[in-house]
Amino acid sequence: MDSRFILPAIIFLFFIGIGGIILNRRNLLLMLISVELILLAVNIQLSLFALILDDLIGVIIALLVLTVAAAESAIGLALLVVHYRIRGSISTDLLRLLKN
Amino acid sequence: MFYRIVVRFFFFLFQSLGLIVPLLLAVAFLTLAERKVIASIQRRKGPNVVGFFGILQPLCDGLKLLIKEPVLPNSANLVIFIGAPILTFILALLAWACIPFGEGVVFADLDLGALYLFAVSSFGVYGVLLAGWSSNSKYAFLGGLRSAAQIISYEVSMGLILINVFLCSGSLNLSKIVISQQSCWYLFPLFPLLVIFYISCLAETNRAPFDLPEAEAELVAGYNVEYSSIGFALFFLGEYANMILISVLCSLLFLGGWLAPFNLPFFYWVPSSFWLGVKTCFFLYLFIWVRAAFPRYRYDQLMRLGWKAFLPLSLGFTLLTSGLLLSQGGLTFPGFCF
Amino acid sequence: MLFQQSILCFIAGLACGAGFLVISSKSPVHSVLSLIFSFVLCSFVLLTLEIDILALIFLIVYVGAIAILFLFVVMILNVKVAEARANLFQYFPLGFFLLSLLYFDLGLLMPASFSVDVAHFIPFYLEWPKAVLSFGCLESIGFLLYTYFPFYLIGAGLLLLLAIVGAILLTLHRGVGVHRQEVSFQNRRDWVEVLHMVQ
Repeated sequence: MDSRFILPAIIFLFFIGIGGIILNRRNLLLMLISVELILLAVNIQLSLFALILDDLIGVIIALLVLTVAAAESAIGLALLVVHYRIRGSISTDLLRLLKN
Repeated sequence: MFYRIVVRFFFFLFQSLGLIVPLLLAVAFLTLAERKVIASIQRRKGPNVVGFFGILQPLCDGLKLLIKEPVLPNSANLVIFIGAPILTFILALLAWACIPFGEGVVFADLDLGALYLFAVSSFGVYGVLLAGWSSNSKYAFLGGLRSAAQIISYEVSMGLILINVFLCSGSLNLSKIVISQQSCWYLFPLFPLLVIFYISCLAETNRAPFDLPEAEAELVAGYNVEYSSIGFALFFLGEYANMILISVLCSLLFLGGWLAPFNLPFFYWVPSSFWLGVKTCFFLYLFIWVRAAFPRYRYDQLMRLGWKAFLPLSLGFTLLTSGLLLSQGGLTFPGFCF
Repeated sequence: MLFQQSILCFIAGLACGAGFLVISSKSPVHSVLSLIFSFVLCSFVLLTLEIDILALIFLIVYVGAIAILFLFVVMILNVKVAEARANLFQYFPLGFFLLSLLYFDLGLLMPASFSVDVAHFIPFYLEWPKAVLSFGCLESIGFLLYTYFPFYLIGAGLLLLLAIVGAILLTLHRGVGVHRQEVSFQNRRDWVEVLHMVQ
């Protein structure tokens, strides 16, 4: 089946993720969620390319990106929790301060 | 064309109803069986008023739950509050699509059936977590969080044990897994894994002795403390349907599913799904017996058991199984020979 | 065919809508929920395109692990977003301009660059999988992954190990007054030394 027509929608999802990072620059949590959205869009794109080009390597790369997404979310959320424990909020404004 | 679509639709409808209606009946009578068995373990009589030996008791209970007024808390997040039990119930039914009851007796013979089951069971956390959060009550919230952490922890070792079974059978299709046990049930070579898998399943379905999410002593009733009437009934049905599902899964993966116990010709006269039923009943009885016999775990003990005992054990067993299979040339690669 | 394509378009559109809800909703729990919805819909897209193994793995990893992690953290931290979103639209015009430029660049050009048909180049286009063996998606991916990309697989495993160790080290909070249970210590205790008869 021709699946090229679905590409713009998935690219749109990618840009929604980037827009989320730009619009929610104050909120660490929403930035992480947006990164997750971006990686999801990239994964879907890669597997679609694999389908279109009839080549399985795209699927392999998608699997690797999936592990990166999992590792990134785990580390990012751990950092978020530590930051919240120290500062009492998840705003990125406080990230530039070294002391209280 | 239109005629064929209508026929297919009704065929599909009757197929699904043929799966769902016996399941709901089984859930109803499982509750009765649980009460009866626990009563006899504690030397009581159990329900014996309604019907012959209390056989109509579950119907009365269900009717009572259905006709009561659903109480919606004022500060609850209503959409999620109503949606969470529905989600739990739908997921509990959804997983049954790929369970084979006999050779070819299966609703959807998926090639990745076991993976599908795993995916659906990993969805099950959301019902509990969302119910706990949306009730806007401390007890429910704590119960939801506990349940989520517990289910996730035990899912890891369950996945690793599933990988062992896949390695031995060379397929993810549940029917093929059962057929590959024709000569030897996986109970015998993988017995420690069956024990670990069963205990993980106890934690996965929030059953005693791991029923911390609904520990009545500390959390009142856990995540479903705010639910009444139909919402509670849906949670209840979902939980028991999950119990039956897990028992069926255990017997499919380790006890040879619908295969007769010994290769006696006498046993082949019995319909094959009868054997699946017998094995499932055995595991269900174990569920009830464990609930009656063992005290509840403490939360840190539960976590330690999951992460420090089961995870390394199942990981090591995966290495052992794959190493043994590799050294004996037993790693099958269907449709391909070198 | 047209039916399938319209269903695909509908699902992908819903996924984009859910993605928009992710970045625009007030409460972080709602945005995580719409993130989950978006994950599920994207996995449906893959399922419709018959990449079933990847769809199920996406469901298990994204919805079953990552999204639960997010939901868990959001629920525990109980963050209030209202103050963090004070000047939401400060960067909106510039960002919108750049993004739309990029989108028209990528979203219109990329599908067009795939317009060549593979069968057009190869004089006789043989479908090897159908001709030689009937592999499923799972078998072919496993074959490729373990035969040609084993080092990538090991690298991914090391990455996950790093993530586990890092997350545990970051969040391990050794409280002072916390009582811990030492099973080996409990088992080593000899009851003869512990019990004393009181006269």
